[in-house]
Amino acid sequence: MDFINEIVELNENKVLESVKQKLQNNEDPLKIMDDVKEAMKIIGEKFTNKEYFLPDLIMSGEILKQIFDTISPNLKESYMSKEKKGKVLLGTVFGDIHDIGKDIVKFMLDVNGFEVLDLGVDVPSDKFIKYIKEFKPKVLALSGFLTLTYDSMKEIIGKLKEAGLRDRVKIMIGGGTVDERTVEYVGADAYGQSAVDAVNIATKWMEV
Amino acid sequence: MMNPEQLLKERVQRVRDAVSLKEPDRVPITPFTDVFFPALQSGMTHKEAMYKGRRYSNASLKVFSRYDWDLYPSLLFPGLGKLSDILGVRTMKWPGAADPEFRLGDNQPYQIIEKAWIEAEEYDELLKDPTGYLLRTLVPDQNTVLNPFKKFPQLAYLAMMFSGFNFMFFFLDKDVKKMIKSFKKALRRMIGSVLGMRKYNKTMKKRGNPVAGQFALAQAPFDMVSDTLRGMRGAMIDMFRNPEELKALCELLVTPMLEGMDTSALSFGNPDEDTITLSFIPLHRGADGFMSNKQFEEFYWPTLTKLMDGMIKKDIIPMPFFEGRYTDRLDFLAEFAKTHKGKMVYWFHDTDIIKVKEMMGDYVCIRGNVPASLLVGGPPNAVEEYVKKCIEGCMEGGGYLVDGGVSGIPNEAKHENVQAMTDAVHKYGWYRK
Repeated sequence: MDFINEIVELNENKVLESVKQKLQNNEDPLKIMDDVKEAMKIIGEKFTNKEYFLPDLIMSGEILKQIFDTISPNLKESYMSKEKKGKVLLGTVFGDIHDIGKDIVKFMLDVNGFEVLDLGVDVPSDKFIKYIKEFKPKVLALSGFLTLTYDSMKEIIGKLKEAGLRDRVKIMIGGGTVDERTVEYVGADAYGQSAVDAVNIATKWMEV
Repeated sequence: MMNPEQLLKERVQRVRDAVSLKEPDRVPITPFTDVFFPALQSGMTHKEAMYKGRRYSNASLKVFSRYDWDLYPSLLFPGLGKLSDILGVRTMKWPGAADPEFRLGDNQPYQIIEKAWIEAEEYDELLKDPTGYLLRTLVPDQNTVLNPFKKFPQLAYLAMMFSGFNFMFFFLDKDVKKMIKSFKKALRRMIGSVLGMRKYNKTMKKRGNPVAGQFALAQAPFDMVSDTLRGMRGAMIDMFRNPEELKALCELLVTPMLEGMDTSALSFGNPDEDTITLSFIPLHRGADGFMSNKQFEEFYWPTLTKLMDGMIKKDIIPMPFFEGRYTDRLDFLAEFAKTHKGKMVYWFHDTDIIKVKEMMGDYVCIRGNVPASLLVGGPPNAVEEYVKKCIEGCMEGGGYLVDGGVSGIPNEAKHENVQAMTDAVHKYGWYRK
C-alpha cells in the first residue's frame, strides 16, 4: 500500500527508489505494475473529484514513464492491453493543431480502462473514416479548439453518413469553444465540457 | 445627426463610464474580433490576410464600419506573414509560410507551436543573466535570422578598455553582417506595417469609430513561461521539481513586460485622449481544471496581479480575458477587484457572468460573453435572446461591456449573427434615451 501511496502522492524520488528496491529484492515486475495501475486509477479518481488537476496528471505521467524505463519498456504493452472496457477513436480534427484537451481526455480514458487510439492533431476526415473501418471503435471522440473546427467536424460526420458508417459509432465532441449548441450544428451525439465528462459519456455508451 | 467627431467622443465616454462603474446612456458594445474575421467576410483567404497587408486593412475598415459599435478592434499586424518569413519565425505555423515545415493550409489561421525552448537544467543560467541568456539562446532559436546572436559577447567582456571598439567586433562577423541585411529588410516591412496601423486608426477615427489601443497586449507571467519558455508540460513539471526557480522566473518577467508596453506604445502613437487603452491579457493556464486553487494561488495569481497593479499605476486598464471557465477562482478575482475599484475590465468566456455581476459588479466592469457557437451557428433570434439576458443581468450601475465570449467575434462568425448581437444592444441596452 505504501508504494501505491507514494505514486498517488507524486513523490517522484521515493517511487523510483522503491522500484529499484523491489527489483533488487526480485519482486515480480508484473506485480509492481499492478500496483502502478492501481495508483493511476486512484489518480484518475482524484482528478474526477477535483482533488488533482492537470499538473498532477502530467507529473504522474512523468513518473509512470520513469517506472517503465526502470523496469522494462516492454511492460508498457502488457500494462496497456489488459481488460479493456471498449474502443475509442480520438483526434483533433483537421485545421487545428491544439492537443492539450485531447491529451487529457486520452489520459483519463486510458486510466479508466478504455482502449484509445489517438490519431493526433490536424487529422484529415478520410483518416477518421479509414480508422473507423479498421479499428472499429464504438465511440468517436473529436476535439477542436478553434472555431473553424465546427465545419471540420461537420464534414467528418457528413462523410461518415455518406459511407454508411454513422450508425456504427456514437460521436462525442469537446474543446475550447465547443458547447451543447455545437452538437446540433455538427451532427454529433454529445458534448463534454471536461475529460471527466468524456469518461462518463463513453462509459454510458459502452454499456448500451 | 451627430458629426463623426461628436460620435467619437460620445462613444469613448460611454465606454469610459462603463469601465469606471458609472451608468452611461447605453450599455456599450466593444467587440474584439479574431484576426481573420474581416478577411473571411471579404472573401479573402487566411493566407491573403497575412500577406496582403493593404487589402486586409481595407477589408477591416469596410467590414467593421458596417456595425454601430462603441469601440472597434485594432488591426492585425499588416504583412505579418512576410515579416515572419524574413525573421524566420519558429514559434508558430502559418498559412503561406515560405518554409514548408512551418506552413499551414491557405485557409487555416496561424497557430502557436508550444514546446520547451528552455530546459529545466538551464534555470540557473537564465536566472543569473536573463537578458544575456534570452538574447543568446531563446531569440536565435525562435528566429532563424537572429541566429548570429548566439555569438553575442558576454557583457563583462565589454567592460575592458575601449568598450565601443570591443562591441564593434561583434558586427564584423560575416554572419552578423548578413543578419543586419535581413534586419534592415524586416525593419522596412515593420515600419510599413506600423504606418498601416496608424492609418487605419486615423481613418476609423475620422468616421467616428474609436479603436482599442494596439500596443497593450500582455500575458500572465506564468503563461509566458508556459507558452514560450518551458512549454506547458515543462512549466507544470517545474511546479513539482523546481518550484522556487519557476516562481523566480515569473517574478522576473513582470517589470520587463511593463517596460515593453511603453516601448510599443510609442511606436503605435497611442494612447491619446480619444483612445481607450484596454490591455488585453489573454490568460491560458489559469482556468479551472488547468491547476488547483492552491497551485493557482502559489504560481499563477501573484505575478499576474503584480502586473495588473503595475498597469493601473501607469493608467492602463488591465483587461484579463478569462478564457475557459473561472468558476473556481471567483474569490481571487473578487478580492483583487475590491482593491482596484473601477480600474479594470474582467472579460469572461465560459463563466456565468450574471453570477459574477452579483459577486463583484460593484468593483469591476464585466465584459462578455456571447458564445462562439451562437455567433457562428446562430440563429439571429437566439443571439438576440442571449444578449438580452446578459444585458438584463449585468447592466445595473454601469460596468458592463457586450462582446463575444471567445476572443470576441470568432473568425467564422456569420454577419447576420454579429448584426443581431449589435442590434440587441441598441434595442435593450438603454439606461436613458
